Amino acid sequence: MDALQKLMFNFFPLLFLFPLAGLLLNVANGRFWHKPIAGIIASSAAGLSFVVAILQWVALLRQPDGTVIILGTWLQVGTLNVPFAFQVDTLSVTMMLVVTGIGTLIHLYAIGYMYGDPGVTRFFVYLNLFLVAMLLLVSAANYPLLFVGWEGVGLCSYLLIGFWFDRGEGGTGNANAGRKAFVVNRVGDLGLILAMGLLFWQLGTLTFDDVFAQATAVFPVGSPLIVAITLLLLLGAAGKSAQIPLFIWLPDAMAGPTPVSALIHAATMVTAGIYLIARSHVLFALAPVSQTAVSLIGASTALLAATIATAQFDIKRVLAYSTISQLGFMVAAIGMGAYVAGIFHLITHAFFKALLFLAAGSVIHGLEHGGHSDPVTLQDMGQMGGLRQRMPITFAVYLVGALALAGIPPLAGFFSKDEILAAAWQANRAVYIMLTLAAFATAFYMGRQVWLVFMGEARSETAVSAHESPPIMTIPLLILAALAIVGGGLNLPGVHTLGHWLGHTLGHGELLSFNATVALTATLLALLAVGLAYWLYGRHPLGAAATDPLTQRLGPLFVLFNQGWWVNEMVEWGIKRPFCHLSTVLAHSDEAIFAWAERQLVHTVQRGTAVLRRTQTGQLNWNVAGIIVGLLLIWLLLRFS
Amino acid sequence: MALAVGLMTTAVFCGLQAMRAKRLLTAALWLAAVSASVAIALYQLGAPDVAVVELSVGAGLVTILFVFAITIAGDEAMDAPPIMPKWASWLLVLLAVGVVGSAIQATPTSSAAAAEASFTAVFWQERGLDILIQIGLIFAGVLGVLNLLTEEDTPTPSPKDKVP
Amino acid sequence: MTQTTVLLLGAVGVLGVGLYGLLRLRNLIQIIVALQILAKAAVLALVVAGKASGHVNLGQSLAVTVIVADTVIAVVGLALAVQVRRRLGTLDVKALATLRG
Repeated sequence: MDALQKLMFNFFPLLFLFPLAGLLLNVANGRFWHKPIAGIIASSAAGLSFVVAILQWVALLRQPDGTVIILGTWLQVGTLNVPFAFQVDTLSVTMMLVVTGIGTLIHLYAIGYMYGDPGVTRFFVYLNLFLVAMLLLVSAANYPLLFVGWEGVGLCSYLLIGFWFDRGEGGTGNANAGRKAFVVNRVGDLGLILAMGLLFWQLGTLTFDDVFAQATAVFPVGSPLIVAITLLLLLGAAGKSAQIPLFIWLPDAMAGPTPVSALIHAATMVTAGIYLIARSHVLFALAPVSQTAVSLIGASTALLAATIATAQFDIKRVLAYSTISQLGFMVAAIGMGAYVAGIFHLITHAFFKALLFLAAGSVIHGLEHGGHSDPVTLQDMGQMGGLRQRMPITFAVYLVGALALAGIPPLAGFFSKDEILAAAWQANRAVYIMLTLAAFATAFYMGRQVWLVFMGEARSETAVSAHESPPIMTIPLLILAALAIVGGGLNLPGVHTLGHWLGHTLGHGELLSFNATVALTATLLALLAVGLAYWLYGRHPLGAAATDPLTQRLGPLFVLFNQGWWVNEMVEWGIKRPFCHLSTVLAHSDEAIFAWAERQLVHTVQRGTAVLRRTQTGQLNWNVAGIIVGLLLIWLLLRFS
Repeated sequence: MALAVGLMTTAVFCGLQAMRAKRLLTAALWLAAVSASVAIALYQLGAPDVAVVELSVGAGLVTILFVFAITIAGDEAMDAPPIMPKWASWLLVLLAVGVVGSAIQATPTSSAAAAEASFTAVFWQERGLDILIQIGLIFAGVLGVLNLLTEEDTPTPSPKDKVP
Repeated sequence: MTQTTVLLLGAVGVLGVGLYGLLRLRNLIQIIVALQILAKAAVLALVVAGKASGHVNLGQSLAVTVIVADTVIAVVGLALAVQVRRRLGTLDVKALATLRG
């Protein structure tokens, strides 16, 4: 490690300190400042943090093996030693760059999007807090510290979903959505905690390097314990990354402001599960059963969510299910050992999904500030249409994002998705088929969305009066669109820049060669899906009150998709209701047994005291009698003891 | 000897009369008689100093205090029956008297007149702490009485209040 | 039967009279009278005991302390009785059983 590299690593703590300073400044002084200043401070903090991340990247370029930076001791109990240690290697720096880079753009965008909101200072405080927690998550060098970040982002997610806590269904809809996300995430967190406990029990350490070094020696391949540990880690990842069966919180999480959806619930936080599995890849390599489970869960989530997305009408819900679906792609990839493909898709997805969300936010913003705003219908695609003339920039970037997501070459999504499909083709045909179907559905619902929102004629007064968003919002969109176009260049087939780069951390495995058959199939299917979308929505633009033509074509299937396969209802009837009934029964039995016993006790005491109370007459003569009796007793005690 | 028996009988008799008196003033006077017979007994015993104090304070000052208080509070007859049943009070009294009386036998009877310092010497030199406590008590008593007697406001005057 | 025994028996008798009064009487001032009678018994017993053990002056000193304390008790008790009479209109101890803030 040369001096220059050391110097750059010395800047590492600033990665946290900038957002921390930003949030403290806003907390302390936010109320005294003109509102936009809070956003400027928060964005500067995020931007400076991005610069620090770039410094770490440059340092790693000189010597890519990475380092562990120890800033102090946190926990030292018995044999458990958890320092404030941070892992700076190619994987974590990649995540840092994504988090701070996309984060900065979204901060800038949010200045425009949140302009005029009374809680804007609070919003930026939460955003900066999220950055701190997320950076802690991706740079921690041991599981407990990672868990702190893990819970921190969960907290920020909760706070930001419920940011407009007084809105939503019945005035509490948004707050309930936040609570739902929090509770569902706790289920996953339980898995992560248990996995940590098992690891410490077996290995006596929780530091990444030590755990991975010892695990290969301690656990034989496929031993039940390592399978349990990895499955518990998978549960944690499924909670955070919204996989089956814990994905139900993510669609509801769209109640938060759109920049939040873009930053937390599309680009960064939800990828924490993928990061966790990629980081623990050594453990998963020891448990082939868990790997298969991971890829199957990922693939089925990808397909299920994609089908649901085809039948949604809320512009953000489509994107939410799309996010779940794409996270499924990533999870499937890392389950098959294609870590590079998974992380590659994570990065490109962060580009184009952040872009899509922000563009959707731009659409909502344009509708909201057009003069004819009705909060109920702002996100209903059935009320939009014809926005391409009124919001040209938004339309252009949305198109780029949609094509990238659909996997049309040469946009970013094509390369990353193709790599996953190629890996699946080699590893597991069932997974490959599911992912291909999901990719087809993806292209279709994006085509449907573009046509419903931007093409045809305006279907409502609100849509007629929409206008383009201000430059503070469109400039980040353009930057993200550029990234979505060229993002594929990170890991071109045959060059494998990202593959070699991540190889320093994830191990130099076999680099996938370009599979022309798979690529061609995927591209043709995507084009077919887009054509199908045109055939349904493009030939005859929808009228103002027309129903979705998909309704008749799919029949009952459409209801199934529209209702999200009734997964929410299954959870409601399968878990929530029985739980509530059980609670009621327990409450009643508590009343019948313990409260009854308490009442009996109280009655006994009352009866006893009623007797004693009669001796407390308050009459002077009786008091004298008491004194005399007391003296006699004392005399007896002295005399006969 | 006979004098002692006579004095003690007088004291007990006067005490009973004080308890049985219907009028408070009568009770106070019987109390003075008890005090006087006790004082004479003390004098007979060879304790003239405390006998003088008992006579002047116990029979004199306290009686004046009672008369003063009765004048303010009113000397009314109290015909209401006792709160405590008769058998219970007698039982307690007899028990207490029995216990205390049984201790008489244990009293040392060494009447050896040791060369003891004079009362003045004992009182002022050996019992200095008692004197301090007495001074404190007297001050506290005076302050308490002043406080009680000067508080003229009566929050809930009752009809009987007109009695001087 | 010595003089000491007679005097001590007399003290016990006076004590009994005082206790009887405390238990039976209802008039506050009469109760204070009973207290005084109790104190006479104590004074007498102290001096007699002092005489019997050859420390008559020590007994006298203690007796003087008792007399002073007892007088203060009488003074304060009578002042309280006067106040009770003013506030409650009666000297009956039964009226004192009512708790009031």
